[in-house]
Amino acid sequence: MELLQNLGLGLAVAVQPINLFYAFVGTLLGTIIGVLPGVGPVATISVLLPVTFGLNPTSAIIMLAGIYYGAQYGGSTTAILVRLPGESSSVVTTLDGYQMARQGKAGLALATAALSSFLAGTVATLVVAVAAPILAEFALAFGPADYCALMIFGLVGAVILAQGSIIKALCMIVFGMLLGTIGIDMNNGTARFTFNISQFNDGLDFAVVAMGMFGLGETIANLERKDHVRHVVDRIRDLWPKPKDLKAILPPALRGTVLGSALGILPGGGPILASFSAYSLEKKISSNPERFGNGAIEGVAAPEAANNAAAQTAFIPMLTLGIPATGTMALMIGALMMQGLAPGPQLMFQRPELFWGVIASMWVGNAMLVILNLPLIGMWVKLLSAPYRLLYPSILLFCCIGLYAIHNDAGDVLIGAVFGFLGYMFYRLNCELAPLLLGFILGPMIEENLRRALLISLGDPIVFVERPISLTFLVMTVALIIAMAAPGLQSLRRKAFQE
Amino acid sequence: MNIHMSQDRLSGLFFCGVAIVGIALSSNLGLGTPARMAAGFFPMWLSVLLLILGGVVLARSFIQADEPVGEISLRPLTAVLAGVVIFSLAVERWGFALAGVVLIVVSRLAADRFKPLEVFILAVTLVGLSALIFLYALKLPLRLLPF
Repeated sequence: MELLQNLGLGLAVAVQPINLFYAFVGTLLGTIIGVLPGVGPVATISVLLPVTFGLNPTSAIIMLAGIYYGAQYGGSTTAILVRLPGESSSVVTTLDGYQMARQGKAGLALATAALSSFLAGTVATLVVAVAAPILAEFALAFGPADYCALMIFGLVGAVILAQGSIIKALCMIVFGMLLGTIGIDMNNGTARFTFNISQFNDGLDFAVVAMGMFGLGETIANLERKDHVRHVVDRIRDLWPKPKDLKAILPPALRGTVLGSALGILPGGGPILASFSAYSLEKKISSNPERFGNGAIEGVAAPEAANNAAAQTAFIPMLTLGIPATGTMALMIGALMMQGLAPGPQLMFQRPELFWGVIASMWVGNAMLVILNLPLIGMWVKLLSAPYRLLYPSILLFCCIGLYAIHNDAGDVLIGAVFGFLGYMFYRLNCELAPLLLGFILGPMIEENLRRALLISLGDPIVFVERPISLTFLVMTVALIIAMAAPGLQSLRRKAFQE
Repeated sequence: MNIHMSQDRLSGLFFCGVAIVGIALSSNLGLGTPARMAAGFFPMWLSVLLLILGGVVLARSFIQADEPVGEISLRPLTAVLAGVVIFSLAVERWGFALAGVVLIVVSRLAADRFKPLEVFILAVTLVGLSALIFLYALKLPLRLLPF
């Protein structure tokens, strides 16, 4: 009953004209950048962070969330039509989706992707509504030591499930945490690593780091790559699936939804892992697996459902524990903090209208996406031919305006340029940027909780193993690290990301 | 510019370098005791951890062959960064309109097919649109023109 009441409150917030407007702006922007080559959701959300300062927090998060799951939709459109995954979570969709398009079934493939995603979005919204309060309630009992252990577990977990070298990702986390210590230490007024730069006194601004690395750094890296020649499927017919198609879509989409919802909650799980796992599950249980890779409809329905469900349930740890599972979630936390809100279990009780409004708006946004994507597909296909030489100057201009707008300070633009260089450098060194962002967000929180935990225990570190919650997280962290070093898991992980 | 050093070795060197600077600066800040952590406590341990992790990356690069960093094309790197730096220095002196146009023209040098008319139209359109959005709709306190 309480669930219905909460969802009712959320829906009432979500359908307010202003929030409907921002959900629409978000999903529209998300769809566009999902389709546009070389512009990703992380960069877009970073660039738009300063714009959200002027909004109320609920509308701001609704819009940013819309960009996030809108990009998932848009990304699958390009995966199907031109075999170019707009987002990394739609890599799997290229396998069968593009084959379907080549067999003249592009319309059916697009509809499958959109309807599976909508189904997954609806179910996952319910999952979030049920699971989030339970988790938040549970997390209220956490002490400083427990939080510390949880955050360390979250960071280590995020690395395992990320792509690329584990040890380099760990380096990036610690480097991010070190960047987070810049500024005046709130507890004793000592200036740390400020190098007499006035902008450093209040700490490095999250938006400056994100915009510099993702907005500027990624643009430089994109410019360096050669342009791909794209082959666009010219006409899309038979968009609406027949009843027999719907029957073929439903079971794999449901399986993908369940798998995606579960994996999305895990730290670092997120949409990419979910889509890969859903695809291999379908292949495993299929009676004739050789159809996969040759235009199997399950190969589109399951991963598309899974990545959308995971995109949604990734909000659970973010909203209830204040722990980001992915780089995008770190940006959302950054946006909340810049609005003066502390993400964590109190959020749900202090700001129920924000909490439930954001959850309900995800469902509203998903409905908007079906409308945006299916009938307007012709328009998005045209966007695909937009040349990057006209796109990137606008990204740079928005970045510069955004950097300036944070504090109306031209110095921030300069610092942003430094992070642009760093972002490009890390790209070339094959070091992933998302772990750095997670470390930067969680570092100060870990320090604060560590300080409090050790103050209470009079400096005795035994407090971390005395408390059952903290001990559990630490044991799980150690288990993860051991599993990481095991050769079996390493080859499995490599295989999963190669497929 | 072509860098023959492997990605791992350069990453390892970078992280170790940052860690050493971190250790040096944190020790000046004072460590305190665990119960009463001084400002240097947390960054010191982070730096030590980074030194260990970066050291592993560095050591591994001598055992395992890894891809070299490869060709760095200086044009996109310098054009984009130069555009942004000029913007930051110019925006308060010359006003947003001029700084924005310079940013777009300079950064546009990063990619091929620089057609003066196209770039000019692009710059004027983008600056005009963002002036409407940011200066008039969102009321950002920025001057449009230098006078």
